[in-house]
Amino acid sequence: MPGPFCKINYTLNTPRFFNLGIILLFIIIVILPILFMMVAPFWGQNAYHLGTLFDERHFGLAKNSLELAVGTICLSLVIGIPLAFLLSRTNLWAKNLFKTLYLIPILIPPYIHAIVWSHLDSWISQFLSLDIHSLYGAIFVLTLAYFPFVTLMTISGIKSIDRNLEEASLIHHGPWKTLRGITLPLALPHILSGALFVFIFSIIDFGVPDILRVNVYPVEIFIQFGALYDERAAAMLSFPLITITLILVMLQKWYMGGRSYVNLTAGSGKDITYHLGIINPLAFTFCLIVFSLSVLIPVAVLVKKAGSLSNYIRVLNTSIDQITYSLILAVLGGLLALFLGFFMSYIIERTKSKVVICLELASLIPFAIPAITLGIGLIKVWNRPTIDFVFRCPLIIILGYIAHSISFTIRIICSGIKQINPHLEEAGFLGTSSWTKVVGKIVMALLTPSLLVGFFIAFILSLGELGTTLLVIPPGRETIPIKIYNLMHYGADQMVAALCLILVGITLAFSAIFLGFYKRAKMFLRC
Amino acid sequence: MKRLISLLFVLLLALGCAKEGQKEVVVYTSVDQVFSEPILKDFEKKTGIKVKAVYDVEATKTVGLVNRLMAEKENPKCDVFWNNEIVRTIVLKKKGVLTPYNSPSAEDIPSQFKDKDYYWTGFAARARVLIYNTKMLKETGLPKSIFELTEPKWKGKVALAYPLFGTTATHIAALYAILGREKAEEYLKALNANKVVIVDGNSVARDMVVKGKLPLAFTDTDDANVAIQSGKPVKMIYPDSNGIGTLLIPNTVALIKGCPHPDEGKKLIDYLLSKEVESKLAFCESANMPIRDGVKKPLHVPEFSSIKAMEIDYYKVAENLDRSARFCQGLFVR
Repeated sequence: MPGPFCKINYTLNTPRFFNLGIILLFIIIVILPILFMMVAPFWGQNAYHLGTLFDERHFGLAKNSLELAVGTICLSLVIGIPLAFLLSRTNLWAKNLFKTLYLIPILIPPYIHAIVWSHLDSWISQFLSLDIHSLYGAIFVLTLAYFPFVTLMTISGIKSIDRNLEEASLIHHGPWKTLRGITLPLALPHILSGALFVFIFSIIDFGVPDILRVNVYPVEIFIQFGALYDERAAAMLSFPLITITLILVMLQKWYMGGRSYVNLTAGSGKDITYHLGIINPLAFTFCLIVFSLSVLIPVAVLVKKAGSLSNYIRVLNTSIDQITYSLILAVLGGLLALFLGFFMSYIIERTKSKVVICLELASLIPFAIPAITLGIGLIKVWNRPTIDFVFRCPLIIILGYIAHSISFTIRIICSGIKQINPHLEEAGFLGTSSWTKVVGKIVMALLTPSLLVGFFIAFILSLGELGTTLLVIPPGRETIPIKIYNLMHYGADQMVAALCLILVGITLAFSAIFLGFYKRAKMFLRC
Repeated sequence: MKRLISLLFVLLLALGCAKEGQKEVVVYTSVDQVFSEPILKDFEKKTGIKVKAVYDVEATKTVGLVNRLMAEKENPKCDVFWNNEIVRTIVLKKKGVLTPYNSPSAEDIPSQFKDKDYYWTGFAARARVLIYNTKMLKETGLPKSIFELTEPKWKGKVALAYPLFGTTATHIAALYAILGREKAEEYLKALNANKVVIVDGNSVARDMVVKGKLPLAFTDTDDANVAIQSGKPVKMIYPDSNGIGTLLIPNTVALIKGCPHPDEGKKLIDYLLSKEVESKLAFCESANMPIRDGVKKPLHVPEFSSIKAMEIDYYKVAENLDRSARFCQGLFVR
């Protein structure tokens, strides 16, 4: 695999007005609502001072949040790394089946994991001696939802290792020493990137701690909004989350260098394979337990709760509009996040300017913005008589989806662009003066797998989004997550379970289609 | 690319970005969709005015709509706010989100349930009650007052929804208003010392009693009634009939200042405040108690006059909401 390429010393021939347009669009859609919320506390008569808001209790909550995030990272590493090694370097039984299935848990929204495990609280306390309504319970549930990030990134890391190094080591040392001394250290940047994603997701997550009744920092932000109606204090409480996320993402970016983040199907079967021998049953059992806890049990509980087929039919009859509406919005949100994310990434990676560093930093901020803060920011920016049409229609939800998911899309596409030699583009410009042809036929073509992953992540995040959507959804409309939470309040467990299963089914169907496209794109590039 | 952009544009138009010509009214409601939607549909049928609703979600998340209304204040999108309680409507009045409307349908509603300047009107009340499991507790040993729950015999046996949100927050603020800050905080500390079990919402508290995990819980009449009507082994206690009385929490309805469809909004308010709607809310699973005479109701819904209602100034409750929430935040850290 080619190494990272340096930034080139000039701006490629994308027209300056186009670049400015894209940057402006990014600022208006993504940065402005966030900036509005971040600056507002310091404005006006009752301006806040940072020191007056934070007290001892916040440090206690921050400690809980850090424990939750670090605990989730540790458990995710304990599960995710061995799983990645088993799936990429061994002759594990049913390896191909597990390789297809291990990503399913991240396709199930975390609040659904939490709903399921809180139904099983007595079982889990009896067999695992774990109180699900505790910090450890939340760590358990968040790990089951997010460990595939570690596995995914570790597999990508292992696949990108030069096999000659491992083979050289194997001549003199055994497999264990090679794994410990060569494979693991070389895959470490990827492993840590996976851990970072887990950290960000678990430290800003509100849904799981809320359902499991664990007091963490985001709950405090929610209380400021929901109980005290102080949106400015709530926005200010987001500062530590933004700061810590920015620092970590910058550190990780520096450590990752130019490596590619995700490589779902890398390798062509020529990898080194360790034979597990007598421990194969043990390894198989480990994978089976992980898969059971993260997929089989949640789905089985939902199927049992949902009851007979007539419940699914009832849910489909009453929710078909919401399902269609959610799908269209998530596809549009994914496409537009992809469009903006691609050109932003292209500007970031192919332009040498100090402005780009600011842009790159700005593109990381949405990682740490709580959904409700983003929602209020969107209302403040877009709810104006002159641009009324934006707020009156679903465009506002799509803008929310873009802001919510664009950090991930940009990070993935940026790492993809790093792998493309800029000389290819230079060569392209020798043949044509049209920048659209060069970008379209060279860059986008070579980048197809990254673009697909970027779209897919934006689509999945949009489909499960609740906090922002509730604040900006046009009257008379509903999305699937809103419907699920509505039914939860009423106590319609059967319908909640059936609708959760339908949501998971839709996500899986789309994932299967996506994986098909992704594999074809990879094969095409290899040819 | 051009084709893609055209397609996106057409899809957005199809999704409802185009302006519509039909008469319509926009309502934000925190009343459960299963109860409010049929009533709004009936209004549509009767008047031909299309109702566009935004429903709030799960119990502790009833923050969305109030925050949304405050954020939209400069350019309101909503005409009518139909709240399933009263205190947050008063918060909205204080924030300048509401405008007065004296509905003709509200003439016979008692003055304690109306704003004196007509910013909001109450109807169809719920009560804060205790729910108990009939298999776990005998009639003779039941508590008559919420103040008995600090006694050792109830240690670790009572569930209370997280008191920062919803009607539980209102209940605590009402105790502040009626007892004074010092006594209310003393009571809360005693409850906490007696290991009251804090749960996520009133429906969760009810479910713990239904499943027999705890014998007793604070909840609302609508949550309790859903369980009673489906034959679960639970009953309700209207507490403090010989003391401070039971807290009644009416639904409230209010017109939004500067709303886009004021005439249609007023028609919807008139309809919601009618005896017909109050009766429908009494007959549905939420079993709301009519707050005026002459409204048809099922037998299991008590007469307003048969309950000793807590004599409370709802404005004082709203004033105490912030203070009581902050105290509970410190006391009941999960």
